[in-house]
Parts: sequence; structure tokens; C-alpha cells
Amino acid sequence: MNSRILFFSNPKILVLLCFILLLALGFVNVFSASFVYAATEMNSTYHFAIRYLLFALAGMACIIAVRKVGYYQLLNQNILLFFGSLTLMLLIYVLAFGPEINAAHRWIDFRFFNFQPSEFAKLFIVMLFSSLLGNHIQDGKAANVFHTPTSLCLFITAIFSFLVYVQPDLGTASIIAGLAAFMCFIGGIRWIQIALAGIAALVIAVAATWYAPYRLARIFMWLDPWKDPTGSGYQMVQSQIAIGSGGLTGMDWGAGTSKFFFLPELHTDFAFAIYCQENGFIGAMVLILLFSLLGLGLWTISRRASDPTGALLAGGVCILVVGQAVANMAMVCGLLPIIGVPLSFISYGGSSMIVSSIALGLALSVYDCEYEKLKTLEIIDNVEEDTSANPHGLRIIRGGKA
Amino acid sequence: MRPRYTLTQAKTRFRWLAIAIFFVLICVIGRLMYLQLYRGSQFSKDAKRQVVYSDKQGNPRGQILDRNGEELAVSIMCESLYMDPSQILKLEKKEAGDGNLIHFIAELLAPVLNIDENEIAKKCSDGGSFVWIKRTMSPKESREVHQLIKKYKLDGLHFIPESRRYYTKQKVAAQVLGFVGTDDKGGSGLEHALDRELRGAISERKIYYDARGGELIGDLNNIRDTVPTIYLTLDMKIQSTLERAIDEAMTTTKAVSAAGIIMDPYTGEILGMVSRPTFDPNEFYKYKDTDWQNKCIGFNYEPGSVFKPIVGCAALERRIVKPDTKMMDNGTFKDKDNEINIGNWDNKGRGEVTFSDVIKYSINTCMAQIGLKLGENNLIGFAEAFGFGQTTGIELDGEEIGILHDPRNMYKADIAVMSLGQGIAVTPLQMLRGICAIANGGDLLKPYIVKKIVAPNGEITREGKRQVVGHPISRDVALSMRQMMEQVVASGGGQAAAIKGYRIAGKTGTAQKLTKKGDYVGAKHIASFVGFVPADKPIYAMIVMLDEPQGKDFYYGGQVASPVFRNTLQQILAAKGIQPNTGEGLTSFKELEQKEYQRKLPSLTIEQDGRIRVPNFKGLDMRGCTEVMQGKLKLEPNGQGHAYKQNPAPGTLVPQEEIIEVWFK
Repeated sequence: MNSRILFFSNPKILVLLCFILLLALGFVNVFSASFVYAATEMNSTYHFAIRYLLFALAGMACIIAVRKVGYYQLLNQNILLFFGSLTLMLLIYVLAFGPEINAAHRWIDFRFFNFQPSEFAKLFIVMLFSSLLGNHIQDGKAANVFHTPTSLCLFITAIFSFLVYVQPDLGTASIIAGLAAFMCFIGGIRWIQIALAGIAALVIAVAATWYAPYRLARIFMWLDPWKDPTGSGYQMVQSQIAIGSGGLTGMDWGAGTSKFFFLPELHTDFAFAIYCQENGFIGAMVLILLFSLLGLGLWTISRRASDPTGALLAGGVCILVVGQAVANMAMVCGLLPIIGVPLSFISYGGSSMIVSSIALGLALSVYDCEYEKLKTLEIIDNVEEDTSANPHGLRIIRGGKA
Repeated sequence: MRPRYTLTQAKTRFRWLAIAIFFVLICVIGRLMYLQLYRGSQFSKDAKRQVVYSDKQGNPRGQILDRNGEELAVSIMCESLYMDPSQILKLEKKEAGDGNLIHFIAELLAPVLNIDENEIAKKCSDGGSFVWIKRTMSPKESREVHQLIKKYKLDGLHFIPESRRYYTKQKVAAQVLGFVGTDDKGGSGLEHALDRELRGAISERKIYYDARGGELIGDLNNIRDTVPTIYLTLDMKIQSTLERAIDEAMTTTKAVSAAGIIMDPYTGEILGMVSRPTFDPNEFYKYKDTDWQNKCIGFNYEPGSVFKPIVGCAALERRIVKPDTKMMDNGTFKDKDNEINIGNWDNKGRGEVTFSDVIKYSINTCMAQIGLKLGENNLIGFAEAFGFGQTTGIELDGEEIGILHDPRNMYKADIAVMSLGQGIAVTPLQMLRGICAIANGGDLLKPYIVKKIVAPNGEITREGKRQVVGHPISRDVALSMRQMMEQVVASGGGQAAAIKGYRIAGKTGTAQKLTKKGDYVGAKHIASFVGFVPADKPIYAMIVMLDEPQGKDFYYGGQVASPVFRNTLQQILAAKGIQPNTGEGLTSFKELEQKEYQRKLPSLTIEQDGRIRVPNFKGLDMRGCTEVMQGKLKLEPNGQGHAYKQNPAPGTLVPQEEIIEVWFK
């Protein structure tokens, strides 16, 4: 019995193992990517490496804490209200008082690191949809854009997304909107509404391009960055050079040349490029394998969850952590237009690290609860086999909260 | 009522989403394969290209040193100035200038660089983007130009580092060293012959730049000092002594040209090599190109009697004569057909003489007889065996091979004349080498001047070594010829070459030069002397050749060339501390030094009106006084020793042929 549940080992162990390995790769990569910049601009070669290490420790602490508390506690409506208000306030605060960095108000300066509330907005959206749509599914209802709670969720999403958009940070705003869309999709939104949303998105995109033609230029640039390799296509071209020059086996740890200011944002959004340069195709495959396994673990947790909230939460976390990573990789290697998306655990960034860690903590908490439930049910020997609804022969436990 | 939406449905939808994400991931993998595997090598090149710049840097040309490490030719990196007129014109256009910017710059540069202002302006007005203003500026000039640029904020002036050659000893060994033309190319002499070794190698330095143009530290494989240093066999002490002696001879004899070589007869090392007229390689372009020629190797001349020891050796080797063979000297020698008509230099007959005497007194009539006995084949054969008619193989460029008859086309007269050293052309170096074969007991050597080439890491990449290229005569023959040649200096025609205490072997020569008509009538002469010291165990062999000494009845080798030999070697022997053979009548080193001091003879200044300013003779001995007077004043000596008093007083203007009374004590 137990061995069947623990098929493919244990998703908990899988997720934790991937988490630790990703941190290890991330640490080495952040150090390698940043030491030149750190040494010349920050007066300390280890500036970013030390901070990454501390963020990683904080991330581990978050996982432990979240699991201890339990996801159902955190997805409590009061807590969500508090968390949502806090995020909202911080987003407004950033707009009003945040220091201007790179012509944008995205961060709150905490001296030691810059805190990015928009990252937390992403997590909040996942938590919000999981909680409200989960309860909705519990009641046997599908999500409907024109009815509560979906409409409420979308309204909140729109506010958050807009606040992030005016920072300006179109990338994160789209991610927030995208996360909401995916959650709605899982929540059972009807196909006609999906089509409508798609049309709406298209209209907005066309309008946005009409309104600001430089966006069109950007798209053309993305299609052929080599047209202007020193101007608008610079970052894309440098990114491709960095990845390509890695070849099969890479240039060796620390030997990558792009870190010498050729590729901007090397230790953050473009960490994957220097990773590929130094570790080559083989190294990239290792990283992709780790993210795939992480995704597999999260998916397994979601699949096995009997609680709709838990299942949605684990799924949302999977999209947030792994989906975002895949998007980042696709952008860095030129498959998607570049918007600022971090590569979870590999990019340097305290907010992203802590958000991703909390997200993993929530997913693991879902697993913990399910495990506890199974154990309890086995003891009282009241397990119902529902093979018709479960072609994989897995146990679906119905019942209230544990 | 809508159908119930179950968790299972939600999970199915999530599965589709996960599959979609996985699909994107597969695309990423595909993209990575394309970028990293398919186009990896291309991108690798791109990545390297944007980081690495190869900086080509000129290294200074290799040094040339003498055998003791004294610098003869050194190079330093200098800056060359060029102008980019297009840059200036662009600037003028922008500032709507009136075209005077170039003139303004030229005006500033002209006094600093010592170039005519209009010349600069003209060069630069033609436009283009690269005009040399001055190459290899001196450090002072380039400093001043830098200051000007800074002061007036000048644009369009740029610098390129180039190597500049300095010959520290100016004219010393000028023809041996040669010179370096523009672009660091060797123009003549060793600079040309060893250009490949000396050439200031362009070393490629790889510099790593970051994207902001900053030079990255820690990865500089800076290759400097790729150029080797060349040590010559020349000894500066010997060289400069020889230079001085030849210069002196040039002034006293007014010869057109001269050559002098000192060589180690056992190894073939060239210790000194002097050619006149000479030039200053630092400013080679100011001299005629004929002055660049090294007469020691590039001058064909008829050796005259100096060649007699070679013919004598051939006769001894073929056992035609022995040293004590009796011969008849009638003063002239004619054969029956009147084809041959040979006379002694004084046309006097000495009656019955031995072969030793023939060499000793340089008796032409007997040499002609010997030559005829030897025959053309032996004569030419031995000449070739002694290395005539072929290059010596020394590292220097521009070597002549001399002229040898073809034995099949030789008449009797040719044979007779050749045994006197006429009708054959040699270079001074060939001649000296042939005599060295006698001096060292029969080994024909390949002379060399490059002692070693030392790479920057201290490794000796090439080393000059003694090379025997032939054995023209046996040791016994060489030894007996050595003895005969010793007699020449001891009591024969070369007594002026004698140095007290040392056994010296030598041979004088006075050759007639072919006139343009092709005969020897009223001919000019070439006086020479070749010899070695000490005669029993030679250390130095030396040849002196003076082309067309101008004195009336003062052109014989024994008169003009022998003293050069004596003067030079006397100083060298003393300086090198070579022990004399006998202590008899020998002056101490101290006295020699004093003598050397005295030898710095005052020059005779002839005023424009032909009158002579009387020099100060104080301290000179009688011979010194005559040397100074050069026959233009008449000496009336009183007493013996060194001069202490004279009349008229020094500085007085006197007509030529005036009698000068000098008192010695």
C-alpha cells in the first residue's frame, strides 16, 4: 500500500532533493556570473554569493515554517485578507516611495537587499485562487468569470497587475495575469470564456502595440535580433552567443566570458545564459532535468491531493516555480520575447527566492496533510476505492478537512 | 443547472497544462541543441572574438655586442608621429575653419622636430588619413610633441611605437655592423645578413577586454624579449686600435681606400675589421653608398708580393724548391720568346741567392722561375686550395670571390706574373685567411664574426666555431714558410713592421693597379702588409691594405703598410699582456703606454694660403717629428731622445719646406 503511494519514491523527497540541488547549482552560478560585477562595482567579489547563501538559508527556513503552520492555515480567508492587504499596501508604497532603480519603482530598499513586492503578488494570486476556487470546486461548481468568487479574484488580479504594470514592470504584470488565467483554467472556466479571454488578450495586445509602436519593434527584434546586434538586439544576441559558446561541455566553471559586462542582468534574469556558457549542453540538460523532476514532484502532490484547495495550490505552485523557470529559459534562448522573469532558485534575488521557497513549502504542506489523512484513514480502515474516477488506481479520499 | 465540476476534472485540466509546459521545455531543449551543438563553434568564436584582442607589438631589434659584451648596436623603442589629415579636415568643417589648422599644427611641430614647416603642411594638405610626420623621434622630441598636443588640445596627431637603432660607437666597425633603414630592415653588413635573427619580432600579445573596454588583468601572456642578442668575435680594444691606426695611415698616405683585418689564425675569429672610407651608421643616409661597402670582403685587388708566400708554399709542397735551394737573380728575367719580362722592384740583381732570400727580399725574377716550374695547374690548384676564387663563408654580406685565371687559358707570361701576385684578384679577407693557413700550420679556416647568438632566455641558439675547410699544405711546409716570413720582418723588406721583443712573420706587397687602358704603365699602387705575431706561436694575424697611397716614391708596402701593422699590434700586444719572445731591447709596458700617449701625434694644419702652422713637438721622439712633418717641413735635429725645445715656436705660420730646428734629450 505504502509502496504504491510512494511510487516514484516520495514526491516530498523529490521536491526537497531538487530544491537543494537547484540551490547548489544556483549558488555556484550566481557567484560565477556576478563576481566580476561584484568586484568592480560592489567592492566585494562575494557580494552576491554571500547574499544568495543567506537567501537560500532564509528559503529553507520558510519551507520549514510553512510546513509547520500548514497550508490550510495560511489559506484561511482572514490570513489571505491580511496578506493581500499587506501586498497591496507594499505595491502602493513602492510606487509612491520606492527608490528609482533603472527608471522603475519596483523595490523597497532594505539596505541588505532590495525587496520586490510584485514577487509576493504572484504568490498571493496563486494562494487566493487556490483558496476561493478550491472551495468552489468543493461545492461542485466550476469557475465562472462573471460570478463570484472568480470575478472577485480576477478583480483583485487586475488591481495588482495594474499596480505592477505602472511601476513599470510589464513582465511581472503579465505573469500575474497569466497565473490568474491558468488558475481559472484549472478551476474549470468554460471554453467559451477561455476563447473570449484569448480574444480580449489579443485586442489588448494589438491596442498596446498600436499605442506604443516600440513594442512592435521589440517583437521584430525578437524575431531577428541579428539585424541590430549592437543596438536593440544586443541583449538577445549576447544571450545567444553566451549560450551557444558553451557548446557541448561548456567553458568550465567561472571561465565564461560573457560575465565581463557583455550580457547585462547576468546574475538575475539571464543567469541561464551564463549557466549554459559555463556548463554547456550537458549542464543545461542537468538543470532542465532538475526542473522537470521538481515539476513532476509538484504535479504528483497535486494529483494525489484529495482537497481541491490543496490540489489547486500544488498546481499553482508548479506553474509559479517550474512554469516560470521554463518561461525564463525559453526567453533567454530566444524562443519567447524577453520580459523580466527570474529563473527560480538559479537567478539571484531575495524576493524571488523566498517566494519560491514559500511556494514549495505550501506544496509540501499539501503533501503532509494528505499523508496524515491517509495514515488516519488506514488506522480506522475506512478507505474507499474509487477506481472509476481514478484510472491510475490511486486512492481518492473524500472528506472534510483533516 | 450546470453539471458538477469535480476535482478530477480540475486535475485533468492541470495535466493538460503541465503537458503544455513540458512541451515548451522540449522546445527549449531543441533550441539549446541548435544554439549549443549546431552553432556552438560559431558562437564560441564570436564569444572569444569579442573578448580577446591581439595587440601586435614591435619589440626592439636585437642588440649587437662585441665579444666582451660591449654594446655596438642597440635599439630602443621610440615613438613615430603621424598625422591623420582627414580627422583635421573633418574638425575644420565642423568649426568652419579657414583651412589653417594644418598650417597651425605644422608651425607648432616644425621647431620641435627640426623639419621645415612648409614641408609638413604640404605633406598633410593632400588629405588621406595617414601621413608620417617623423619616424622614430628621440625621447625629447616625442615628449615635446606630447606636451604640444596637451597644451593646444590637438587632434589628428597619433603615435606608433617603432624601434630605433643606435650605434653607440658611431663609426667603429661601421661596415661590419651595417645600418638599419626604415621599417627596421637591415640595410647592409650584419644588420642585413642577420636581419632575420635581429629583426624586432612582432610579438602578439593577447589582451582580454571586458565589454566596457577595460583591460582584464590576470590573463596577459605578454611576450617580450623575443629577440636574441648577438655577440661578435670583434674585440673593441683591438677594433678601435685598428681603426685609429688605419685612420692615421689614411691621413699620412692619403690613400683612396683602406682595409685592415685582425684575425685569430687558429680559430678564424675576426677580432677587428676596418674599412675606409667609412660612414656613421646612425646617419648612413648622409654618406655615399660606396662608403657602406666593406672593403675587407668586397674589394678585389691584385695582392702583389704578399701572394708570394702562397706560391712559395706550393713550390715547397711540390718539392720544386727547398729553403736552401740556390737560385740565380740577374735583376731581370726574360725567356727566349721575349714573352716574359720581369724585373725586380729596383731592377738590381743579387746574384746567387737561396729560396729563403727570394721570399725575404721579395725577388721577382726568381719567383717567376719558380712559378714557371710549378706550371699553371699547380699554381691555380694551390690558389684554390688556399681559398682564393671562392667566398670565405663569413657571415657578412657582399663578399667578392676574387678573380682567378682559368689554367687552360694561361700564357707563360700569365704564369710568371701570377707568381708575383699580379694577374690574380683577391679580397683582403681571402689573403689573410691564406696567410693564416701558413701561420697555423696548414689549416684553411672558415673565418667567422658571429661568436654566439643568445636567445632572451639565455639559451645559445648559435655559436661560431672553428671550422677547418681544407689542408692546402703540410705542416712542415707551413713551418718553413713561417720561418722565411719571419726573416722578411727581421732583416728583409718588412723591417718597418718589427716590434721589439716579438718574433714577427710577415710579407709586404706593392701591387700595381691595372690602369683603365689595361696595362700597368704609370700605374697606381696598392700597398699591403700581411703578417702574424708571435711568429712561432701566432696569436694575431693581420692584413693592412692601402689603396693608392699618394706619396711620390712613398707607396711601397714596406713603407706605408708595415708601420700600420707595427703600430696596431704593438698596442694590442701590450694591452693584452702578451709576453714577448725575448727581453732584448724591450721597453716595459709602462714605457709602451707612454709611447702610446706620445703617438697621439699633433696634426699638421695647412692654412689656405699654403703656409703651415708649426705644431708643438714637445715630448715626441725624432721619428714622431718626421711623421708629423709628413715631408712638408724639414727637421734639423739636435741631440737624441725626446724633443724639449723647438724653433720656430709652436703656432708660428711658416711656408712649406721650412727647416724646423728641434732639440732632443
